Amino acid sequence: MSTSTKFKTTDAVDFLIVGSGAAGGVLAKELASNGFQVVVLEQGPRIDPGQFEHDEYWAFNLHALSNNPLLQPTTFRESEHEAAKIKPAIWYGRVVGGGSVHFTTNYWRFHELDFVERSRKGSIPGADLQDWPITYNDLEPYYTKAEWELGVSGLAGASPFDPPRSKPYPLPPLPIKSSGVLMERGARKLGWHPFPAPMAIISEDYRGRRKCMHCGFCEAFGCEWGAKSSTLATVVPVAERTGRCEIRPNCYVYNVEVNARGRVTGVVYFDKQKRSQRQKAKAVIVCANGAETPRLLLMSKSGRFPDGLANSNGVVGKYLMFDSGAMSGGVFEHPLNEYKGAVVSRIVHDFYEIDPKHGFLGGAGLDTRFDLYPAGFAQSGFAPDMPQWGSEFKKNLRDFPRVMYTLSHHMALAVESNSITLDPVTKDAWGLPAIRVTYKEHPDTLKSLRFMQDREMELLDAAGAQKSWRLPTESDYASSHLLGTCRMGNDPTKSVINPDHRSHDVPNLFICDGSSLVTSGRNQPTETIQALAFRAADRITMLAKKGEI
Amino acid sequence: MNEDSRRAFLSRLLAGTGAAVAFGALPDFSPAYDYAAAQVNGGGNKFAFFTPQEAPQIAAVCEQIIPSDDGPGAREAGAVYFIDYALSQTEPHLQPVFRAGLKKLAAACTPDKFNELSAPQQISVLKKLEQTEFFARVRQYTILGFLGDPARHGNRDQVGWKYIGFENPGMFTHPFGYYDAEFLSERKQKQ
Repeated sequence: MSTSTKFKTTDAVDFLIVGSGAAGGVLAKELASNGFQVVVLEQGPRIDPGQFEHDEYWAFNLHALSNNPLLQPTTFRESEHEAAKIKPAIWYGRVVGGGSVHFTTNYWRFHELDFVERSRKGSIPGADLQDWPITYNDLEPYYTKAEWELGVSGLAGASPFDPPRSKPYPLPPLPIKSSGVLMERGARKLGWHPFPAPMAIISEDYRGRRKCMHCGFCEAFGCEWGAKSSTLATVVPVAERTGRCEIRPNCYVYNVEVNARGRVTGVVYFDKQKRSQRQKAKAVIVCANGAETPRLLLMSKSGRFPDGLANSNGVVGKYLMFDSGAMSGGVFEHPLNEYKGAVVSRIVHDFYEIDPKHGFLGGAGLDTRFDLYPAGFAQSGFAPDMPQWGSEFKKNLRDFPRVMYTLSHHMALAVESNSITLDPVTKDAWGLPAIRVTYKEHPDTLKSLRFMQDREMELLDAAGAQKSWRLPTESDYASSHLLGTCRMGNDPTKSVINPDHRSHDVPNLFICDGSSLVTSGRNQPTETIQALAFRAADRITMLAKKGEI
Repeated sequence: MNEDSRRAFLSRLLAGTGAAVAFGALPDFSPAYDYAAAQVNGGGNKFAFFTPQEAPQIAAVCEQIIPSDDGPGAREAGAVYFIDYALSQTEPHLQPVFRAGLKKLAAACTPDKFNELSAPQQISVLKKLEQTEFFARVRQYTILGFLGDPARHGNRDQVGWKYIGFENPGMFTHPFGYYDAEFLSERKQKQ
């Protein structure tokens, strides 16, 4: 299972990758396959899929696969003028495979518009909407590569809104669920265009992996079958089989070191026993997610980079974008049994661009889904004005098999003051500065949430719901999509990395993860993060082969 | 249940005693869970965190949050044993919330034993405490003790899951529900 390849900390390996998640796992496999020596340092443990549990308490309360706010507290405030208070504000995969282990597997390409929305729509007051320095066409081959290398189920051409693609999906869609049938019925009545949700779960046996068994524990859980196309189930073992890649778990990197010439020489990390170790490397690629990546750079202060590494322009940590969404629930006459099978089977993209005549800039995708396991359903599945305990509450729990939810996934506009910074007071269990989140949705994003929740209620009604309700759109949640904090751009004064994912300040420091994103798409970022990682691997390989790193 | 036995059970399944497991008949997990519940119940109903004075008070709160009126509730699920397990074994940092909350609960009752009040009196006391962290936590952990994995000492004999209509056998076959079954049969008729 685990690799036999081990490097010494004194070996200056070709590439040191921080994080083994959606991006880090892909880069490890690509670079090791291209002949380079790679060490991947992962904050979390390595968990054998046979140890994954179907237990809400294990996943949500004990944080078995994710960051634990008791050990790594975060602080939160809405604006720079407030004092930040301790509050869980971010949620990320902290295990070999990172967030790709517990993600829901919605696997949407960005559309052409997402890369050029600024030039199409103009500037938006209070936001810093920018075009990407690359286009959809630049990324298309890598979207295709991600779908085929990792294993994605879907139906090409089923959505009239889909961007062009060079190849169909490698696997047919997962079976339609009752929520999918109700989406088909309701959405068609409303004149929308539902289509099979592209999901990173294999619907048939694929490349030595066994197909999905429909156990129902996808969102927030790991797949014990390996049918979910996490990096743990796909590229990580391939990387290890090259004999050139070591995935080292329980390594908490807190400093990326530079020499007098301003070049990265390696990283310092706490090992499992909280001892400091120094791993040397010829180049470093940070793939630690949109919160931990900027935090690591901000912690990596030196005489040459007093405000943090790659941060001479002060952009590191800015333009944070969260996973904004509105959710509504409905009860139907017959059992749907949404707890069986993958979370989503049908989606619509009719509102990918919401008509500007509504008075705001926004766009969203919409799905019907299973969202809440039994305890989560009882805890937060009902509207606040519905009974929350006692006899009536308990009776409503019996609706569980007849309930589905509909969830919208929104463009979150980039706002400069939304950011990741180091908390000046709070420390984590290792004595490192806690992440301080400053975040307030742009007013247009809030308007789009309310707009889409109205559509959700229409959909539930059109699908024949006996009863439906809105869940709060501005609830206190920890975001699991952490985007935009080391944005890509051509202008070194306004972005952190260039289109090759190389930091503008340090030639042998690369960054690739959710932090690279310039816009949030319609907030299903994983496929774009992985397409970027495949593309970054090509760019970095080319630079290395030309001796330019 | 013992976590190791459950893991061993899962690993046996995953080790794929062959294609029959993966693609053929569904393995039945329920004997394993029944076994687990028996283990838990046989393990005795002892408290590691709550004192003999506290236990009936917290249990009475659990029983108002998920009553046993139209079927098994928090009492039959042993929710209070799950809470005791969580506070003593996995989340001791929550102990002060419960200990201080129980004092506030007593202070809100006349006489001061919540479990000796009538049901309407209990409900009215809890309504006054609804906005407190204590109540939110007891509610959250009662729910987990009713609907969580039986391996954690609550949801005994899966009474919570049976009540709401949930099962966790580890795999399912399609169709899953009424509407997808209907959709498939309509499609077949058209063909």
